[in-house]
Amino acid sequence: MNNIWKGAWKKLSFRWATRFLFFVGFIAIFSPFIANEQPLAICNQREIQLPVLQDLLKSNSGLSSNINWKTQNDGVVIFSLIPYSAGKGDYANADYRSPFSNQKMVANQNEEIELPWRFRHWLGTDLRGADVLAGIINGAGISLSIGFLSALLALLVGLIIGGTAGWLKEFGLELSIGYCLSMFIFSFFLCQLFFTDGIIMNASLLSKTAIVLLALYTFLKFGKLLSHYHLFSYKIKIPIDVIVLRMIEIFSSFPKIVLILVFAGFFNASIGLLIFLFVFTGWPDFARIIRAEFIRQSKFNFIEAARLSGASNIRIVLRHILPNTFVPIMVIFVYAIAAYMLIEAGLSFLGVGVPPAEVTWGSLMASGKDNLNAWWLILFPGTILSLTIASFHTVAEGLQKQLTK
Amino acid sequence: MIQLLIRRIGALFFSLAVIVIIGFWLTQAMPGDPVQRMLNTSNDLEAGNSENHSKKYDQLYYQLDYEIPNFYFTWTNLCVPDSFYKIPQLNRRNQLIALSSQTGNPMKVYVFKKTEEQLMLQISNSNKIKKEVKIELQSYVNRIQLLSTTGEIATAINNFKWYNEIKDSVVLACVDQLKEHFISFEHAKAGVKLWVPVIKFHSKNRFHQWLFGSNNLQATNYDYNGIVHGDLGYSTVSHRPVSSILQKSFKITFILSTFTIFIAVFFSIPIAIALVLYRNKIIAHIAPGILLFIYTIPVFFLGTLLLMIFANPSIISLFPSSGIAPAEGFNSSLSSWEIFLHTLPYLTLPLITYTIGSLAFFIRLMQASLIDQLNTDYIRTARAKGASENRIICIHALQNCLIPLVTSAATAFPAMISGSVILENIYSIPGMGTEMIHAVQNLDYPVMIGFFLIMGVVTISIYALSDLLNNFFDPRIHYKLKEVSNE
Repeated sequence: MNNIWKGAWKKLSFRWATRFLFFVGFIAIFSPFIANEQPLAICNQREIQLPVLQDLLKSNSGLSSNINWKTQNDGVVIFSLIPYSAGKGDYANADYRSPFSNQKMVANQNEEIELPWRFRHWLGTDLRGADVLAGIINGAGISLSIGFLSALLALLVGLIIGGTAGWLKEFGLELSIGYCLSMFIFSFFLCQLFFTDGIIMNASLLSKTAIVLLALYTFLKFGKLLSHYHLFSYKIKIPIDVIVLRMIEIFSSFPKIVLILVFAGFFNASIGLLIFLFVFTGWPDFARIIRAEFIRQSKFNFIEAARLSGASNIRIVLRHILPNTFVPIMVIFVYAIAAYMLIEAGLSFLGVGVPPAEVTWGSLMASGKDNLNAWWLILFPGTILSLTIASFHTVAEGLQKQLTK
Repeated sequence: MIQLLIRRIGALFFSLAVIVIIGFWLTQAMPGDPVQRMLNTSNDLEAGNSENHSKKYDQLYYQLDYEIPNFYFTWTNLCVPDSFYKIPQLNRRNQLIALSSQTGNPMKVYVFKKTEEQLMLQISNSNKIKKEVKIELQSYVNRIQLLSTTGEIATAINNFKWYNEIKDSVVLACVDQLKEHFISFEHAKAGVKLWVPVIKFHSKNRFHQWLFGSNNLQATNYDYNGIVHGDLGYSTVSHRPVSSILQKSFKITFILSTFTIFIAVFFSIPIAIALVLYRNKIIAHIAPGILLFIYTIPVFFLGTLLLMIFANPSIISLFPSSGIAPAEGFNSSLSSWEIFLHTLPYLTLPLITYTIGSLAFFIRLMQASLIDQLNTDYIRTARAKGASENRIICIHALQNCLIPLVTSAATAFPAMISGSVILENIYSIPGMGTEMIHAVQNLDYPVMIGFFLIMGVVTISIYALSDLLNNFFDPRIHYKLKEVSNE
């Protein structure tokens, strides 16, 4: 791992792509502190208040939002770097104000004055006067968190399914008829529990899980008991790998974007639904590569040595195979983040995926499409998005090149 | 080969089945009551006449075959008979299921519910009860009808306090009957009955009808031919058949995507060859970065950027900004070549936007596979016999690189169609993507389901076809696959 990273780091494009990604990640994590219309700190004679922090910790900071802190003169008011929130209209600068044009501000006496440089909209405003730079900073958080979370969850699902298939392909899974029978009855029981209404209709999720786990334990014990008898002790080989391969084949031939679009149209738009859909359609890509890696790794001699020295299956997988498959997994993980971010931006460009109240890169560009003269609404979010995607690809390709070397 | 064919076709049918089942599940998950929607559109809803309305509802419910089960088999327990499907109103059905799974006695619960209805009828028909008492009684019975646990019903029945006000013996008898029926199952417990599975097969079910159509509906106005025969229902917005909407828009999208792929493949070959030929020159060092950037630039960014620059009156107004034809239509005297020339300015920007991304993809693919080929034995042999570098790359190496290009062009096709959703939205092309977005925005569920089904079928078939073609042209791939799966 260390060698690969060092090898990749020698390349200029890899270095700058990584730095750029860390920069975007930093902005995404600290977005409420970088762009916020509430001041970071207010120091009066009496007390010190931290409105942004208070807002984050509880829903209501107790501060009146009617006070225009930008024109207050008493005490020290410290603003964040961009003193605007995403999506909040600024009516003095409404109707597509360009970055280079004159920007106005309503002073205390309801007269319009020239905006001081500290409060300028550096990248212009949209129809309602919302700051574009604040929107980009907020969009970085949403976009990166959706991409990262869904890639992580898809990776987990792929790791479990693909890893199981790859490991059992090499060492096989043999179950006695007793176990199979017991598991068959267990699945029957599960169907009875969930397909028919009434039994645990009013039970909570926790108690349902408890019932299922208890039943699983009981049936496992029952299977062990059964397999002691001669009649049920005959072992049969379960072709888990073939089943998983067919499942991957079927799942990866789905029309992914259409599936996401239809589901986003059918059910209420939310970030959770989007992440679920990305995971649902994305896990086969992970599972395929992880399975191949597991098969490749489990053929090496050190695995055999570990088995001979008495290491358990779980120990071999966790300590010997997983660390060696880390980089290939990392490569598809990075690619997947880029792909999910791209789809998310496309969906919010269409106004489908993310709830319309959230400001993302895609929705900023969609508002730019309505007024083609507002070039700053298209150019800045689009450039940031393309640079981020290109950086992800550069990082993934750099790592991959080191692998195949 | 035959083994692969069988496996591929099996997987194809399985995927199709999954797509179709998801599609059917979506028809069931459509928000709102389909029967109610049908009643509203057939405009004979008489306001205020709720009894008449519920009668009509029931009638339509049976006409539309909603009393039959959803799928080929039902899985219930002994407490819940599958004949409960025949009860039209959903909340009534759910109460019956809840009560009978508590008590394990569906017949008695059903009789109890019937008596409730009868009591309601008797109260409203009776002349001997005062008006205020009547209203109180009606609300009382309504409350009982909404309860779904035996405990709640027991307390409600014990609280009955209108014995002295009611002078009507028929109603009183009905109340007593209700009590009697309730006591008969009040303390019954479902017990083991809940755990006895009842699995029944239904040859006549809604899924089957959705797939293949149903004959008995011919008598009504709501006949339905089934999706296998191309009947995808009617759009809830424009009330046109979904299949005709999709047919029209699919043509445009199909032509555009095919054009794009042909252009991209056509141009990618010479560029890739040039990049490999001059692989030691400076251009080959800059090219990967440029290609990567072009490949990763989002379609909607490039599209809006081009639109902003070249179709904007205040910058350069070179191309029309939307549509694929002039709004007033073509002059009928124009020949087809002239029509093509007239539509060209409309198609230029979409084609550029669309081609650039896939062009970069194909160039990268070609370049990588050409460089892979350069290390092989037969290229070394060609070099040894004195063939020129041009000949080695353009004749020897290129031949072996064309197969992956063709098959990846085939697999790029479905991605193109689903990617066209965004592109068509930008340039307002009346293709499949625009229809889809309209459907999503107007909550036009039948169009969405139709789009989903058609896209699913197209994607799955093209993937299967490209796999088989690949295997047919290049038998080595099969052995490679075999090695991978046997590894």
